[in-house]
Amino acid sequence: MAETSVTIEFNLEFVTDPIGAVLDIAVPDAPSDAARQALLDNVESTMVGSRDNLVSQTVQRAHGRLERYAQRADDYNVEPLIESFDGVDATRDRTSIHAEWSWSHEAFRFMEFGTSDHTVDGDPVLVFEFDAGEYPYLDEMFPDGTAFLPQSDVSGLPESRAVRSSLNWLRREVGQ
Amino acid sequence: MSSEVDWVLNQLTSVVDSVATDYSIKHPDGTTSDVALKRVDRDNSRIYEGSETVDMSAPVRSRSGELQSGIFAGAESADVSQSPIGTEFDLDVERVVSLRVEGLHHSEWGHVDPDGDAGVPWDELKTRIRSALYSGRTYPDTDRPQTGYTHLLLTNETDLSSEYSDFFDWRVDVAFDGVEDLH
Repeated sequence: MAETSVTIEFNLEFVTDPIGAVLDIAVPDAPSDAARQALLDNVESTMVGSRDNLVSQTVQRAHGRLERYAQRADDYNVEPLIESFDGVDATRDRTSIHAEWSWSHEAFRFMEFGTSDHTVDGDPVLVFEFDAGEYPYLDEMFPDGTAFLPQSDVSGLPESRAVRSSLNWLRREVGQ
Repeated sequence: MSSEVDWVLNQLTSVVDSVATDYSIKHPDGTTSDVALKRVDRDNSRIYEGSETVDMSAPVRSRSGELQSGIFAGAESADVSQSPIGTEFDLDVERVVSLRVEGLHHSEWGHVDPDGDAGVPWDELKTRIRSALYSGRTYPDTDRPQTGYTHLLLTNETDLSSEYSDFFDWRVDVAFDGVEDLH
């Protein structure tokens, strides 16, 4: 019997609207359909099916990096971002597996890419509650704890690269 | 500067030359000059082959004056990953350099013009940068002792230009993969 080599095509794309990833794994040629399905079973289990599969490890890595980043960058609260993870959507057809995952929180992209210092304008005013201990100058102006301002200057965020780093990790794991 | 950052910036030399040869910009007084691609070592905020410093982490909007002098391509070390191979003293190694390219539209006297008349088309620039990096794909030589790279890969390409009206902002990761010998 002639030897047949089986190729697995792996394609992982970083997407930004919303921030996330699209993974395609295909087995275009196989000696038989039974062999291909057996191989796809195996790949599906490793990538998305089994406990502690590679895609869920990738997501955990992105979350871990975001948490470490938040501790460095002024203890920013990233829990809402992490909770906005929409899960892994995986489908399979006769020759391939398709999986995608993303985070729906609109601030996620600002942490992934970083932001510059900017001014937020009110419409017509900004109304927000603040921690008096942390913002004594606001406490002086608004002793009841709620500020009313026409605009506010916000400092920029450094780039976290949380998702891009996690995808680089996944590419290494699958040996690409 | 890491030798990988140096390698990436050096590899862009052909793009610096080719966009200057093929495209020119028009100044407000009607004169023209070559499109300039300026390379920045973002690990220490310095213009490559020069002493001028540039802070590419400053907001792109506040840097339109700077971007009237050229398109900026900034490289910095982003990630390092090492994992042992077998029982020998060898490591699988990957170093990632993040490359960020920023430009300004010619209507604001920058060096980018989608039509190619008063600047380089953004997509053409990206194509030239990609092929300049891939043309050295086999065994990038980075003078790092004990490390032999076997290939490199461009990943995580993102174009954020659509978020601005006149600015162009493209990011790509350059991943160097190879083996580090710990003997």
